[in-house]
Amino acid sequence: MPLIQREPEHLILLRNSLRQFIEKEVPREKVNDWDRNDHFPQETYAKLCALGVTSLTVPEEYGGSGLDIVSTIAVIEELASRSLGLASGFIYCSCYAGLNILDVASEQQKKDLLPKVAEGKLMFSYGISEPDVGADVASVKTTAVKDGDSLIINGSKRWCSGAKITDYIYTLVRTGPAEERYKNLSLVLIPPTSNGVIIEPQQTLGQKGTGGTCDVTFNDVKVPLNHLVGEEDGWNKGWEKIVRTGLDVEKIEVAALAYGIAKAAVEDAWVYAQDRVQFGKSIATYQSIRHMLADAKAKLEACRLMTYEGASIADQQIADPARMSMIKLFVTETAVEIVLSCQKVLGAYGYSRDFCMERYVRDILAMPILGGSSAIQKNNIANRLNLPK
Amino acid sequence: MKVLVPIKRVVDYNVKVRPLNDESGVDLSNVKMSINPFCEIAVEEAVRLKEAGIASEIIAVTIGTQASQEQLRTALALGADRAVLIEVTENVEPLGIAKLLSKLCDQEKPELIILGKQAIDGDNNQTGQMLAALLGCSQATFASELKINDGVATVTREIDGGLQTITVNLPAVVTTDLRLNEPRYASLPNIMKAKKKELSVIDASSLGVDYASRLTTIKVELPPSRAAGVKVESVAELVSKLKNEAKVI
Ligand SMILES: Cc1cc2nc3c(=O)[nH]c(=O)nc-3n(C[C@H](O)[C@H](O)[C@H](O)COP(=O)(O)OP(=O)(O)OC[C@H]3O[C@@H](n4cnc5c(N)ncnc54)[C@H](O)[C@@H]3O)c2cc1C
Repeated sequence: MPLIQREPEHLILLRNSLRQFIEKEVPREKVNDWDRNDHFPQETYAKLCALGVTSLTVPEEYGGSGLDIVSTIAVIEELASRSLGLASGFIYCSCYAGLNILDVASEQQKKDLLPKVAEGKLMFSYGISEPDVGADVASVKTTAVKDGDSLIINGSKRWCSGAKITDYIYTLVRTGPAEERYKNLSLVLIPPTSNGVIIEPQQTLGQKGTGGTCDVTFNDVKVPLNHLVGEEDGWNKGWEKIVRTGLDVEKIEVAALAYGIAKAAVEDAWVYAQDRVQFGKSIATYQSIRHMLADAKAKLEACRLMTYEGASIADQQIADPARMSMIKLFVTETAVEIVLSCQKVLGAYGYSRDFCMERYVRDILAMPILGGSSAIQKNNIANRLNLPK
Repeated sequence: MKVLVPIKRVVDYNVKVRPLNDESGVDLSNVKMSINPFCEIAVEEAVRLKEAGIASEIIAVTIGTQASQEQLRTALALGADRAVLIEVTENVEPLGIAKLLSKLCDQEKPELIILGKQAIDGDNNQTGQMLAALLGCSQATFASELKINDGVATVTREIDGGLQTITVNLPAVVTTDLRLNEPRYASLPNIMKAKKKELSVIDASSLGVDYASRLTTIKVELPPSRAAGVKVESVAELVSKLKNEAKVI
């Protein structure tokens, strides 16, 4: 098991660089505007990519800086603690596109697509959930059939994050009879701009400025056969591809988002408690507030340790799905507790649009749901650890 | 042209510093440390001179403990070619720093030494001037613009009344002001490249200069908190208060 280590020097420097970038290019007022107007900050995202951060999931032979999941997770944390929009853009590129292509695409697809990831010029959305498909992923109904050297796709996806801004929807489709469930699923890259694709943003409580959480409908959408992930070899291999790196690392990505948001909430509450004076003293001197903040700090530290433990496991390519589920479960649920207690420290101002806290609250509530709900993580843990049913 | 850029590790400008309970100094435990912002501007200016084909080599140097390697690495990631740590274990005052730097200059023979006008911790604003004096070379402090042509540096200086432009012959010491440039962020590829650049360590005691401290810090305390202001009803009342209470007019 990896022991806790001091972060490598390149990561310390990268964090410094990112913090400077965030300080200057991503002030709170801007982020509040993006949130209110549900605006994805394309220009700021391009400036972020110019720092080379999206090359962290791309090996050097494909133009990247070498696969480094710990640093990737650190970038998510740093971005999420200021802007969920930027963190999401980074995930669509480095993780949804980068990690999946690297792990399950064909050699030609890697050569074509990974250099674009390294430059920050390619983003994927996940098209897995459907109107009738949530936790039971293997029951997807969207279909793809071969037609000469094309694929024809019909069906609909729901909760497709980022579909308004991404280049491809990484779509799980059925390529045979529904009864066979896991056995005939495939993954297809569908450009949201293709003929027959209809995208309708859903209205959600939070997650604003992340490129939309969208309903996507496919009506006889035609894409070339080489858009099949893994090309010919990928036919009916969708399930094994999706349960490999993709969904396991995604759990750590969501944990990093949750940890980043919770960290920002604690920092804000920590400062607020010292500035706010009631009954002649700063509220930070009252035991109830001190204990809330101390609890939040302790929980935050547990979240940090688990998140980076997960990243380090992924970096060493150790398959440990039960542990990944524990991390997703614990960190996201604990992050919700942390943010809600920090909101209490701010009193009414934690409910005001003038402060970032209410945004943290709206955003954090999605974390135990997306990327596999907490109940599903619990099922995974008990099943993977062979608890008799 | 060889450029030497001395830099300093300081408490990050975002940190709200507090005195230690015994008032013997500033509490540095768990405090984020960074390159002094003026030094970062100096590194950026050197890198721009190199990009413009004027500088041939940039050497970043700091006098500090092993921990200062992080700031040297940052300078390397920003574009310095190699770095030197002159290792000390104690706090060194500006004159000591200037002496150690002048020894390094004897070895390296840079034509331009560019450094921050002051560090945001001690705010001394002395090292550059002392170094120029020890080297017996020209100095141009508080630079807001720097041009180099045929062995001559044309420097625009920020002075109280406005801007002053002077020319100095190289070798020269230039100290940077805030408006000289806007430093870049270290990009990931450059951070990775910096790993492979040379960072040498020199033991300060091997340079044969006396850099012992001359000053004793008696006490470090917070500035007194300001009392709340008062509202005045009229100009007459304001004038009377300024005259009789504040006694400034
Ligand atoms: C903001 C946001 C963004 C999202 N982005 C994406 C995306 O980009 N791509 C994508 O494909 N999906 C996305 N999703 C969808 C997400 O993956 C699903 O919401 C999630 O898988 C749960 O599905 P469901 O909401 O339909 O819940 P359901 O599966 O209907 O579950 C409802 C409740 O029942 C529980 N439950 C279900 N089955 C079991 C069981 N077997 N045992 C115990 N309890 C069970 C669940 O835990 C939950 O509490 C997103 C969701 C949100 C909120």
